[in-house]
Amino acid sequence: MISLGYGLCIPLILFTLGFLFLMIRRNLLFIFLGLEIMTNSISVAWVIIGSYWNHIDGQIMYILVISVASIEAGIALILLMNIYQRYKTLDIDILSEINK
Amino acid sequence: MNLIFYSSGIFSILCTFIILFQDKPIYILLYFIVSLLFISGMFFSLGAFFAASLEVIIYAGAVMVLFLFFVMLTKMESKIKNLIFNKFYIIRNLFLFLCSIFFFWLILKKIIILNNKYITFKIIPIENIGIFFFKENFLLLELISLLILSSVILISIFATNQQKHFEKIKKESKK
Repeated sequence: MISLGYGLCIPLILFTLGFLFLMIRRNLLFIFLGLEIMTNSISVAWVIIGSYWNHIDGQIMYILVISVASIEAGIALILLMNIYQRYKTLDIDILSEINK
Repeated sequence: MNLIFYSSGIFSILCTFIILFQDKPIYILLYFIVSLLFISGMFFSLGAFFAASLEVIIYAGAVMVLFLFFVMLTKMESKIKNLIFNKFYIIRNLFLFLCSIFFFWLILKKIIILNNKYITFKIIPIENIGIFFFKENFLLLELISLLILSSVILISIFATNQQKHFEKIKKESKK
């Protein structure tokens, strides 16, 4: 018997870790990876709550969330490729000062 | 089932915690893939078999491989510096850490009340998901397929624009 309160703490910790990873890193790819960690943790919470109520609704929300996440990963990565080939760097400190 | 759920949860948290202190980008992505596999183990211990297998196939098997291809194509190996303990950034990092602990404590107050409710291991039949999508809610499938189709078109447009731009740069450098 898994208790729901402790089970929901795990996606909460993952969410804060993803947020820390997003704020600490300077490379654009890892900023985007932090976003992926956060969306994955929220979908974990969906599945846990769905299995508490013995529904399939949690898994259906999981399908929708990861399909949207994979789509945004594809589009964001091709944009990052364009930025890298144009400016030869993915560092946000350098990229924010490139027009000065 | 209790032990499997909590242990795989703790290991996934550990793997994502290690990411913060890493130097090399490939190591970061590999640790995140291992964390996703532990989360899939969590789903298996709850009885959500479809979500668990989808996570391994799609999330760890397609999206993360896309990230790995990106790291390999841009040759990012030598250009990452871990600045988490740099003296220039340490006050900002400490402040962010304290803010995240405060946020965690705020939501923990509301979640920990749910301690007396329990999840049982019940296998949910997978065919209900297909029945749900194709019998009553067909619009969801149509929406997702429209999104995927539009993303494929966008990515192909961006890729061809990138190629044209790259050829232009080559011509200008030859002159």
